[in-house]
Amino acid sequence: MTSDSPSTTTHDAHHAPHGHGHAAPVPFIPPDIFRHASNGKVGMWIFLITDAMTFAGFLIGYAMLRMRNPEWPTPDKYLGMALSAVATFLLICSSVTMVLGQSYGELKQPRKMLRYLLLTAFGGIIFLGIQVYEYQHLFHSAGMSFSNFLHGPPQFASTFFIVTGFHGFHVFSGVVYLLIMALRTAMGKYDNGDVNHVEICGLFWHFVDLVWILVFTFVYLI
Amino acid sequence: MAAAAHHMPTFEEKKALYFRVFWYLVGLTVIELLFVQLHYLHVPKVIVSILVCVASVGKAVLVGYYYMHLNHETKWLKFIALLPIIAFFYAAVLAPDSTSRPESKYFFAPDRVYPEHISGSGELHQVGSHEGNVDPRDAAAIRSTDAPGGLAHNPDQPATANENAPGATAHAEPAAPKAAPFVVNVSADEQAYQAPPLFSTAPVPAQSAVATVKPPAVGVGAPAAAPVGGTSSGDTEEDWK
Repeated sequence: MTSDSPSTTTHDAHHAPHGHGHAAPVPFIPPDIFRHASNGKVGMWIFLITDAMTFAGFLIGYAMLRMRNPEWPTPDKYLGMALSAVATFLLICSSVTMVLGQSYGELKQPRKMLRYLLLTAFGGIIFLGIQVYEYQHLFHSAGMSFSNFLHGPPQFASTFFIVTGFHGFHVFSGVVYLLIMALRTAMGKYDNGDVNHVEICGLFWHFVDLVWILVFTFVYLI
Repeated sequence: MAAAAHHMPTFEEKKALYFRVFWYLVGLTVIELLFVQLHYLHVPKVIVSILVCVASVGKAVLVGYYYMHLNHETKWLKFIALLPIIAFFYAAVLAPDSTSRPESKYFFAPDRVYPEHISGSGELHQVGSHEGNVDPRDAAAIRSTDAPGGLAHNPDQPATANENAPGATAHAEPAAPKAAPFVVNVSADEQAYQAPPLFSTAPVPAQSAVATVKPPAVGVGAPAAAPVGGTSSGDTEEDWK
């Protein structure tokens, strides 16, 4: 709206003529449906949704194979339930350290945040170590391989390794992600208290924990 | 103004909340392990599974709501986060149905019989080792084997996949035409699987007519109807002459 327009003060702003015989364009203001969530955070959520659907596909496939196979063995007979419970506890602890690290980052205490990020990554590494130990045991003592199982249908072994292996790959990715965040923290990138990147990383890590809770139930307990 | 009026939790409050959720998660994990032991007290496995699943979903909700901060997000982001659950239930409903379809290898049904399975001598050629349905690709293999100008047709030798190998057509010999019609006994189930001809406006023949297969004057095993997965090319009587 130009100041030399003679009719500016006599019309409503939305319908003010500006020399062309029609109303001035009204700027489009998108609804703030995500409020304070950053684009990166919304993007991570969308990625996690697709990832969750992948896991859902695996778990449904596992359930279908199991439901159609009367010779499916009881999981706790061959899989180490106690060891996987320890791994579950470990991931829950790492989720706590993750949110605490983020909270310290918001308080502009980067050194404490760095400490908790490293602690979280360490928890992930221990989890991977437990998984490798479990795989070794299953290979050598339980008669399982990626495509065969001595004491039952081969699908029992293949689905187990697909589901837990896919999750283990996520844990590995999360550990790498956490170490990168820790490195950036050590470089002073988050000294100003803007920990949006760390929060996005935390979303991924909590998702890994959430998925393991379901995998632990469906593959080990039931 | 509303945002300013909204109470922002302090660090100590958040820390207390995180540890409270942590203990809930640990407690639910222990409860899950105890639920599994109920199986040894002769509690039905279904009930044990339901209890364990409820505890597990409760843990997942706690992680998503408090650790992933969904409690601070808008309803739109919460809705987006719930999308996988909707997809999960959708797939869970569809999955049992898909395995009940005749195309599924988990569906146990009598072998379907197509005209392509029948040689000139009237013998039924069964190829493939599948115990369930005849795969449409097997039907296509038989068609290419028996077709004039394709592979040699030998009524005494069932068609195999090796005959489809490139170069095998060099030894092809035209099959002797069989003038006499023959009748194949087709069960009611097999009749039910007879597909209507593709790309045709002609009415679907009656099942009794489908059961009677008449070989053409030249060539053998002309199909009375297109098999499942087949195309109109090579399936008409004119193509077989």
